[in-house]
Amino acid sequence: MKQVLITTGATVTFQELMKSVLKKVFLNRLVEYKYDHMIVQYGKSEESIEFIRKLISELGNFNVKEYNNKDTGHNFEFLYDLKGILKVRCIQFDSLLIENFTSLSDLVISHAGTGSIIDTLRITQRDIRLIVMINEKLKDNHQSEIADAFKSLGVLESVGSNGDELLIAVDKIENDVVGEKCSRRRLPPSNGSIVERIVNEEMM
Amino acid sequence: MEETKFTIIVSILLILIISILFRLIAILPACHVGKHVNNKDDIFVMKNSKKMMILLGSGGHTGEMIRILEQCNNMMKNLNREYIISSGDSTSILKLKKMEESLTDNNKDNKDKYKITTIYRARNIGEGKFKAIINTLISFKSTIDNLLFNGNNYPDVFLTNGPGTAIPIAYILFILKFLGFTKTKIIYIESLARVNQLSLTGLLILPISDRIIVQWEPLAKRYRRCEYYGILV
Repeated sequence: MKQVLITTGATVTFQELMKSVLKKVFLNRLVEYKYDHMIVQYGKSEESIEFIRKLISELGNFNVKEYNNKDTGHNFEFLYDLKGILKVRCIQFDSLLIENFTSLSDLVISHAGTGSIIDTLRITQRDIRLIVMINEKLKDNHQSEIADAFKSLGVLESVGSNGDELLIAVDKIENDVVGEKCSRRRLPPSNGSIVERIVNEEMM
Repeated sequence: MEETKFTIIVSILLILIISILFRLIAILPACHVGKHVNNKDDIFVMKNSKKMMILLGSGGHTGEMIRILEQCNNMMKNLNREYIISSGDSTSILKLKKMEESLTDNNKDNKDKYKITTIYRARNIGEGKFKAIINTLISFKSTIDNLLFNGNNYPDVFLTNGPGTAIPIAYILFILKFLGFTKTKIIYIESLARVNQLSLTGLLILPISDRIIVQWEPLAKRYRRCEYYGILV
């Protein structure tokens, strides 16, 4: 199994990211790179269901199953089999996303929020590649600063809000087996226990 | 006669102002830089009676705080913990309980050492200005009620990582400290989302916070009192 996970912010759907991945040229590229599972977490809002339904219908005539699941909300599921077979499943939101999906993926594409980035980079039992898409419409939430800072550590690739840049990043990662051209370093272990020492010092 | 009266009043006022200034200098953390004792041995002086107050914000803030607390086993096991949560934030309560359970599964006594206090939080989205002001006032009053009339058991340490609610709590604690009612130390951890500039909460808490820990180096270089130890989450 080779799986890609695409995840948007939990509350607000990052529409550019969804448009970039629920698109023929992107799905074909995944098939080319031998991906057979694609999971999309598209967000909790009601409007997003209609938005995803529209994007899928524009892909062509697939036999799309829609169902409700108590853990993952409104699901869309179909087999993309134009140039090969890719099982696509879109879920609304899973509170156990890390355990159920992230940790089983080979590639994660997410928005450039710190929560999503850390969730992926802190998984150590599997070598997961990460691409973040900066939500350029959001002002004041520092996504590009965050993406740049992590990129300078060499732990992820970052792209702007457009599908072409995303395709280039996927190509770069898939053609870079030895990890020479692009970032695949591990994030250094977290140093949170320092807080314990600081609290201790302040209590003396 | 009037002259003497006037002189006395002015003198008293001056003495008051000067003592307030001295008191401020004495307790303002910003006036005491670089005297942290770096205790390299991990001997814990934390006594069972010591109390820590931890503020959990919404979403991202809670997530980061919990990731940090999970790495602080000794601290969590030795201190009394009071968590402050905003009303309606059920996700934070769930995450918190999950973490406390995994911490305390081997130790039954430890369960009694934490409590959760809920404070009213204004939800200003889509409401008129008038309602927003009323809500903020209710929120502020609820904060004061919970802090001041809480059996006068003030925390030894107040730990927060940046939801806006931290500001009224921190300043109330600071005023109590100024008046000599408590010696609460304020420790602030800036969110991972801040790379080059402190958040508004960070800036506002900076003068009264005893320690400010940031997670990116540019921040530590920019602000004199920020400490940097790498990413904490």
